[in-house]
Amino acid sequence: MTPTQGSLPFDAGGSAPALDTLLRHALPPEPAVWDELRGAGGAARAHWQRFADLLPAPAQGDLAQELDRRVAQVAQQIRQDGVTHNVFDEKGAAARPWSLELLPLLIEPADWAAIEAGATQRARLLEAMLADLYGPRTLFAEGLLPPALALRHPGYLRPMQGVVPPGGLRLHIVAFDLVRDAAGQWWVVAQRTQGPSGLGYVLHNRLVISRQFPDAFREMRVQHIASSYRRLLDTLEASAREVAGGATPRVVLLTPGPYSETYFEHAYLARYLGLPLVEGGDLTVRDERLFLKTVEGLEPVHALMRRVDDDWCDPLELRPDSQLGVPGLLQAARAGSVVMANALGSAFLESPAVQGFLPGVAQRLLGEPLALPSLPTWWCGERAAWLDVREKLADKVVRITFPRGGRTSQVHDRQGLRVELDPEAWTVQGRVRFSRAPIWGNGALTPRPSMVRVYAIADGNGRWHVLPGGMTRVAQREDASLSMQRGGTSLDTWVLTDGAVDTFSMLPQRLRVEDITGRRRPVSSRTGENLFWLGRYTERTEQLVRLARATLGLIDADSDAGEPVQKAVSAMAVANGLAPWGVPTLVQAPHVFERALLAGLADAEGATSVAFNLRALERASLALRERLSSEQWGLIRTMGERFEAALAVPEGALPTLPQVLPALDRLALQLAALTGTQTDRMTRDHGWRLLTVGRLLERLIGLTTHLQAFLDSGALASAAGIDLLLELFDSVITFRARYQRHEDLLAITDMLVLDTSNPRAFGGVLRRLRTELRKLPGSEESIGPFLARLPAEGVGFTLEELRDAAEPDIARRLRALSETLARAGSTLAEDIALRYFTLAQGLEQRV
Amino acid sequence: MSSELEVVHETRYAYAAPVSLAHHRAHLRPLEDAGQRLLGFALEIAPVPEQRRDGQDGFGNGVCHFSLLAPHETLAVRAASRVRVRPRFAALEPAAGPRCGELAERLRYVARAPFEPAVEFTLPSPYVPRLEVLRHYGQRSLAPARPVAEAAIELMHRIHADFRYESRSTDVDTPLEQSFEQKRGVCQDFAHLMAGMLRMAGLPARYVSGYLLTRAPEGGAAMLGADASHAWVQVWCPGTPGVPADGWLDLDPTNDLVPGSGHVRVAVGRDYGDVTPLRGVIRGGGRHTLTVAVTTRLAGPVVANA
Repeated sequence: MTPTQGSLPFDAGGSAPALDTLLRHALPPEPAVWDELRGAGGAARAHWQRFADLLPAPAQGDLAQELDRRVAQVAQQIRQDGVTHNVFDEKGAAARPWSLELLPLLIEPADWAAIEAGATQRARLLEAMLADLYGPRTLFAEGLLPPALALRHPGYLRPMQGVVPPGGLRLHIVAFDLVRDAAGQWWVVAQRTQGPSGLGYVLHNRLVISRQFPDAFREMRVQHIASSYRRLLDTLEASAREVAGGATPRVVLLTPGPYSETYFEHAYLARYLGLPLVEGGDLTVRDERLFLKTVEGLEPVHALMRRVDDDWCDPLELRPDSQLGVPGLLQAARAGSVVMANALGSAFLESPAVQGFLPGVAQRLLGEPLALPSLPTWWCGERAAWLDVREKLADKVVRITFPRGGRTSQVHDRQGLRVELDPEAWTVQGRVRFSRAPIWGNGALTPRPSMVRVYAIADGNGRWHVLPGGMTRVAQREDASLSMQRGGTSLDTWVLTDGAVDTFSMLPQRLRVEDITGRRRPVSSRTGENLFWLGRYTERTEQLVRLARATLGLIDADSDAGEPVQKAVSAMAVANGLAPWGVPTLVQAPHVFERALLAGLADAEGATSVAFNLRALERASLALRERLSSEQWGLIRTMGERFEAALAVPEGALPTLPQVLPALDRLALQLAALTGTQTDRMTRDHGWRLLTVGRLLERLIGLTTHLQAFLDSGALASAAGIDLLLELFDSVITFRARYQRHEDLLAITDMLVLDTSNPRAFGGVLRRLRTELRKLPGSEESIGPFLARLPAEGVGFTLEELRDAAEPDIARRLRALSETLARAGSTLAEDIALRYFTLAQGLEQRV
Repeated sequence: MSSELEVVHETRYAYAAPVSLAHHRAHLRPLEDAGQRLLGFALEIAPVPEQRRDGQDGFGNGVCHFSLLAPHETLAVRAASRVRVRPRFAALEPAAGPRCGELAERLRYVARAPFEPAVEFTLPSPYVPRLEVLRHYGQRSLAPARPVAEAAIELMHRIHADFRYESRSTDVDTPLEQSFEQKRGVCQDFAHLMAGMLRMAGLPARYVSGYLLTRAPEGGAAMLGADASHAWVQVWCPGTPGVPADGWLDLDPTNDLVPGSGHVRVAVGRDYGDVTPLRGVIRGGGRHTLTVAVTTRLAGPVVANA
């Protein structure tokens, strides 16, 4: 390369020092494979040379140390953003941090042009195949595709025969897994038509890595990827618009739920694209049309971006044991009332056996030779093919023609493999030695086998566009699957261009007024329920922490609290799940009580104490990922993790007070931040309102229970008791300012019960509750009964009415009020569940 | 001689708790084909479904999708049919027609060779997986040089002799392998087993859902399976004298006979899952009880060659 002025290294006389450093740390290239970094003779390829020139200057130390630091930064960023994928093994599912390498894979313009042309052609071809095989079936009639490849594949859906989807398009997005051989030729090893995964990770990978190398990213003209996402959405919306008949179309993203492998990216994409993230249970089919169950009732859905595999989509006509689908969805699809990206029924195209027939099919359906070759493929169901390959299996891969469930179709263990028993079921493919992409780690540059997944996206006018980038995965060793499930890792994929860079960044197009009014984000019943519980758990945890701190304070200091206070605290600890039922009280056996309390705090499974509630909080938020800001989500996750870590003790031991108290203090701070995020940083839609109502109801129930316990045990007779109650009501400061040390029951009643300006007094809670209840979805008549559960005004009596009451009378009145309000709180919670969440409830069964 | 049959097929669900939403699919409308004419059909559903669509499935069977959107605690579906059935295979000459080996060979995929739709029924299906035990059992009868119809009839005799019909000995989820091992089952199992054996030999076999008279109009012993919906198989042997042009020959391994005018075909498919008489997915309902009653009787005069 002739250096241009802009790319001249600083020391124009010598060779590039950064590149030298890189090459010095690189393991030698392997023979007989394509090395992405180095060409013949071991010299770096031109684009890598340029990349090295543009590497950031080390902040301290040398370049190798700088790169090591950046590897750590990338990992840190991923942890912070909560980017995970779920891994399944014998022990079940576990969320692992996403794995991303520091160095991107660089693809040159000429290579990309070939990939782009090939992927575009193949996408057109697959679309044409679907149209044929669900229509006239000329490919069967002319013997160009063995009927078994479709008709024996569970992914060929007979109920969709003859159905043309609205807009005419079956595939909106197709992914191709590509590898490069020793000669530099790209090959297709697999194609994915059922909701191909990776788009969310691709986006996040780009975000993280482009930030690491801003100069290289800009100067090397890396193509931007945002407009591809816009196109995907535009195409889907355009078809959905036809279905919606002029109304603003509603598009949702259908996920199998938090336990699916790539749930993170479903939530990430939903947020990026602005689509509601829904599960099968959130949808329902009525009269052959699809609806979303929302807290405002059923709302029509016109298009699904689908990440649930075909098989699982409708238990009535497909897999009957599926709990992930929507009964009746196929009827809606046949009626043309819903657009799906992708349409149902394409899974059989993913079979490796199909690859071998594509050249003939391309010639017939497109009149063109296949541009991007598949690996050499022999479907054993064709006798000639099997006879040809049977003696040459050693250097080839054997695959399952009709993979069930999982997608890995390679047969690793060939012991006992008897192809002759059922030849159709087996497919043989040639091997390609994958090109080696450079990976930086621990001060060394290692070449590792790599595969690139590229995405073709339809524009709805018969044309396809390839997202200029992709998901590059590298493996520890030569293995066709390179699965992220089995220790693979990912690379950002930089497509370099000679032309201008498309700098579009997902900015919304100009919208009409009706688009804007129609675009209010619906709150699904399930989301509403989760938000309601998020509010309740947040409040409950906060109360628990306050109570735990107060209780431990009582044990810790040589407190002068009398028996009644200790009894009240013991009762509250048990009632709130801090200590188990039947534990002796603080009065009876202080040490036993203390041990029970400490044992419960960190136990997330056996007890119902703080750790348990933190888990419940996390669970509720997990199902809300696409709605919560990353701060809120991160906060909730960190709270639980750090609390459990702080209280970790060896098996059989108990956490100590010096361990517990600071952990509770920190948790209290984090909870204050969480509450702040919830009250001040969320849009006040129906979802937020339900969260708030949940919080207020939980507060009402908790505080009335506290007051009752104090009254029942006579704990308010002492200053220590009053102090403690004020602490539990978080009202110490205001009380002191108002009443100094006048600790009498009337003052308490004013401050903790009647005061409508104190957010923790009954009066204050009720005032806000009434306000928020009135704004819940529904008519005045439907909200009326909710309000009727509460006193019409204030708490039902005034300070004036207590003018001449003696203390025991006041206490009696407060006890009656506490009971009434606690009951009202619980009943209201049930009312709300019945009114807004019922649509999400109830089990489905097949009969 | 043709016969006119009247069939009433009643299905009743009683739920312990209200069902808030139900989607159902019914395969209850008898077929119209060369051997039978549908003179009358009524499908009554109570409560009346809010939505209903009658149409045809991918195999050409009548199918009805219906949904109940209002809460209900019972569901009654009554299908009443009047069918004229011709004695189908009276002129059957099983010893003529294609041979097993040659037919299987004809259906094997060869690039650019013409497509025969019957190939679909040589393939395994969800309820009829490929099992080596079925191949072994079947191959004694299905020798390559034997005529398909003759071999299949012998296979039917053997199944009838070796397997015992026993109500409730299996349910729809019993794996085929288990039915084979325990050598007993209900008519669905007999049909699945025989279809599986034929397919393992490369011969197309369809599953038929239908009804039968307790006593065939042609006389003979009382039939098994008349009080419920019945199932049998068809084997494809085009060109066999006495078999209609479409090539499908019905065989009832449960009763060990070639169905005559006492069998009413309702639907054909790869297996039970394609043509389940009535299935549904409901929301709510709790536990439920299901009662099914089928009555089939001869109606009106038996007409000669109608």
